[in-house]
Amino acid sequence: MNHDKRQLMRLLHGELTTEEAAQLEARIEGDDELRAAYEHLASTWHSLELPTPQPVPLEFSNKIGAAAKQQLELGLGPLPAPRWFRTVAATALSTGIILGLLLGGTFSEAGLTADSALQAGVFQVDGLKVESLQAELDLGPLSLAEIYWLSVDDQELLFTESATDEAPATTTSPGGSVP
Amino acid sequence: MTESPQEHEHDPDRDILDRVAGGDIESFAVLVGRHEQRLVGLCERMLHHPEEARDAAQEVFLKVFRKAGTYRPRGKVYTWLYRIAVNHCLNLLRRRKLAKFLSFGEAGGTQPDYGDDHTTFDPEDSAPDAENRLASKRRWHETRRQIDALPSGQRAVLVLAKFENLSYREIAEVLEITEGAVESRLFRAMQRLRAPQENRE
Repeated sequence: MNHDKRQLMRLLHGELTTEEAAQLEARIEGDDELRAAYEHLASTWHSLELPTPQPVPLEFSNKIGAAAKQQLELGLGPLPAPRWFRTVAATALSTGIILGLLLGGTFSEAGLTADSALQAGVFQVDGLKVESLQAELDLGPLSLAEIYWLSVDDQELLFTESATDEAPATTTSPGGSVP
Repeated sequence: MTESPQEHEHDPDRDILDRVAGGDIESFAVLVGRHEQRLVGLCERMLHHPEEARDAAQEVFLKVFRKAGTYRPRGKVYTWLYRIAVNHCLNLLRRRKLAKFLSFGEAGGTQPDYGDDHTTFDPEDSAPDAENRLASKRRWHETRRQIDALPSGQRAVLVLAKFENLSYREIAEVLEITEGAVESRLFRAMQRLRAPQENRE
C-alpha cells in the first residue's frame, strides 16, 4: 500500500507521465481503499496554505549591492575556494577534535569553564547528553565540529556554517537518506 | 546524480555568475534582480517571518557573491542559489530552536508568535469580508504550525514541493539527494501532516 501511496503523491504533484497518471486514475476509480487514500492525501495537500510573500522592496537590491561593494573594497570579494582545500581543512579540524576527545576526555577536562559546561550539558560528550539534545531539538546528528562550536561559543550559538552552506542538512528520519 | 538534459541547455545565469566571480558588481545586481523575489519568498516560507526572511535573503546573496568563484556547474544556477538559501534557513531554524531550548521557555524568545504583526498581507487574498480573511489567517497559522513540527529535511522538501512548485528532480538537485530520497521525505512529511477534518476532531 505504501508504494501505491507514493504513487498517489506523485500523481498529486504532477510527477507521473500522462499514461501513468491515466492508469493510476483508472485504478483509483475501481478501488475504494485507494480512492479513500487519495482523497485523504489530496485533502491534506490542498489544505496547506501560506500567504503570498510580500513584494521585495525596491531598496532591497540597492542595500545588497552596497554591502557587496563594501565587501569588495575590504578585500572580501569573490575568491575561488577550491573544494580540496576545504575538505583537507575540515578533515584536519575533525581529526584534531577526535584526538582531543580521545586524549582529553570531556570538554570540561580540556579546559572549558564549569559555567560553560553547565549550559544544558551540551559539552559533556559522554554520548548521552548530546543524544538527548539531538532528540529534543530534532537537530539530526550533530557533527563533532558542531559540538565543538557549541561548546566554545555558547553565547552566540555558532554552528559551523562553512560545512553546511552547500551541503544538504542531515536528518534522523528512519530509512531516509542521510546526505 | 545523473546528468539532466537541463545541464546541456544554456543557462544565462551562468554567464552572469562568471562575471560576478570576477568581482563585477553590476552583474551581481542583475543576478539579485533576477532572483530576489524567489529567494525572499523561499526564506519567508521557511522562516515564517517576513523581516527575518529579507535579512536571511540578504545574507544568502552576500554568500553567493563571496562563493561565486566556487560554483561548479551541476545543474541550473538557481538550484545552487536555492541550496544556499535552504541551508542558510535551516541553520537559522536550528539556532532558533537551540536558543529556545536553552532559554527554557523564557518569554521573548526568537520564535515568531504568528500574531498579526508577522502575518503578511496577501495581495491575492481578495476576501470581501473579515470572516474570510480570518479564515485565511487560521489556515496559514495551521499550516505554519504543522510545517514547524516537521524535521528539517522533510520541511525543506515540503516547502520546495508545495510552495515553490519544484519537481522531484529539481528538489533533488537543490538538496543534493536522490529523487528517491525526495519522494521518501515528502511521503513521510505527508504522513505527519493532518488533514483539515482531522484537525476539527
